Amino acid sequence: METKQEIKERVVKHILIVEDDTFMSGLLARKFSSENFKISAASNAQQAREILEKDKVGLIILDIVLPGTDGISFLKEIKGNSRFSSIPVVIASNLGQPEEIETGLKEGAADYIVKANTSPGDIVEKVKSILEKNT
Amino acid sequence: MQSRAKNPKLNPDKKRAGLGLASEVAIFLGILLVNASWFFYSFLGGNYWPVAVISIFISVLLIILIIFKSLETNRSLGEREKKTESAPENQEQPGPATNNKNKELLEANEKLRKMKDDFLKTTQDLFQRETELVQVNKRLRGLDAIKSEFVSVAAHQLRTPLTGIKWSYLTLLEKKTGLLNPEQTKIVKKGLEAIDYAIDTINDLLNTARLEEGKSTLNLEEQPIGPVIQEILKQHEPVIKEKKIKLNVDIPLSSPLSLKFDKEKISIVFDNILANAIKYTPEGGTIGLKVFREKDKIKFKIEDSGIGIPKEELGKVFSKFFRAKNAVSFQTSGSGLGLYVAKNIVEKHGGNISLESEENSGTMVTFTLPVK
Repeated sequence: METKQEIKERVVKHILIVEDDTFMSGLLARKFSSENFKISAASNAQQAREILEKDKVGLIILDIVLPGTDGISFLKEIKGNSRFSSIPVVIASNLGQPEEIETGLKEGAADYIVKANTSPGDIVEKVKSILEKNT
Repeated sequence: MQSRAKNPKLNPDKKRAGLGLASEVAIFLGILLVNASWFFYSFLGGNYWPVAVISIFISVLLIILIIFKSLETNRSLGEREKKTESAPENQEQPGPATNNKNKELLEANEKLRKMKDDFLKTTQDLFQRETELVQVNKRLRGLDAIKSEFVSVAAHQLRTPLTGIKWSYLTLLEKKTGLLNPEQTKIVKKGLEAIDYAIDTINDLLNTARLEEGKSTLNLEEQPIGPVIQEILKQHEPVIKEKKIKLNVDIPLSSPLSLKFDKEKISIVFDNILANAIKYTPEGGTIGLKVFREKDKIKFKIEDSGIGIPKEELGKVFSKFFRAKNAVSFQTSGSGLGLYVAKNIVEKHGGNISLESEENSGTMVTFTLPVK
């Protein structure tokens, strides 16, 4: 029987990666897995909605350029839904103009990462730091 | 003149002539009536009929004469008016001086009319230009938005495959994916350097495009400068170690050296200057970084024992795409945008930047940022 603390830790360590490039999300998932995180991957907003409905998620890593609903619209949707609005969202995109970063942060993202300027290891460290602040 | 002729109120001669005729006719009709009375009185037995007949005859003659005279007067007045209407300049029988004056006035009037026409035309042209400018401005704003979107999309499309390769190489270098032999490790690391160089070039081009569009606004925040420098040094640490460069950092620990600056932009300045120092300093060289307060500003000095810049090229070091001849032969890669971008950012902060260098001896870049 899991204690409340154990359940909380399990939920927190569940990361949802919303990224249409499955090779990139695979590399990122690999790094997170090596740090004992549970990973769910969605290649579009619809798949992400289904995962959120089924399972509890501690943090979302979200790309902006996605087929169908784009990342910013999906972020608005999450932040507008009281069931999911408390889940921290980290945007990881190769769009990196200051206006794009400003929009992402204004819509409620906890952080904005330009993928080309970072590494999977750096993203894991950033996620850990955000989760520590939130617990 | 024409209006005067058409308005009876403004034609007193004609009016006066008409009134005179009526009153004179009335007087003589009265005389005729008196004489006629005497004539009929004679029929009733009086002895005045010869006098009455003569009086009536004279009265009739006088009435005819007066009517004739009045008609003549009206006719001559009409003719005079016609003359006045057809040749107004003859009305006052002007002399040569008046003629000249009139001519000058006519010319001046013509000039004024021409000026008025020109003024109206100029006003119309100005309105047309303004409309055109508004349209052109709207089109330019549209083009500007398209250009910004293009730059954004192009950067995304270029970065995405580079990120794929970069992350793959980084994953290969992790022990969990299996150990690479030294030769493979070297190849993968060189590949990573090339990828990072390509990503840096894209970022430099984006920064330059933004600076030139005037879109690069500063997000100023009061904060200590130390952590920014430490972060940049950390990023360059692997190459510094690899090239066995001796790094001397002199930042006073007693003072936090806080000031208002845009963290992201000042990081670019440090990154560009330090990257140049590392790139153009041969193995085993020295790089010094000194930060100190001087009156109302903080001064940063980044000095290296690198290849330096030829004297004749020193004037161009902050120009866009400039690369010194010896720099190109020493290290083929480089966009020549680093110092250009750094200068723009430092000056936007209200600071200044300078460079001293001696070929084959080293380079020192100094820049300042105002404290307040």
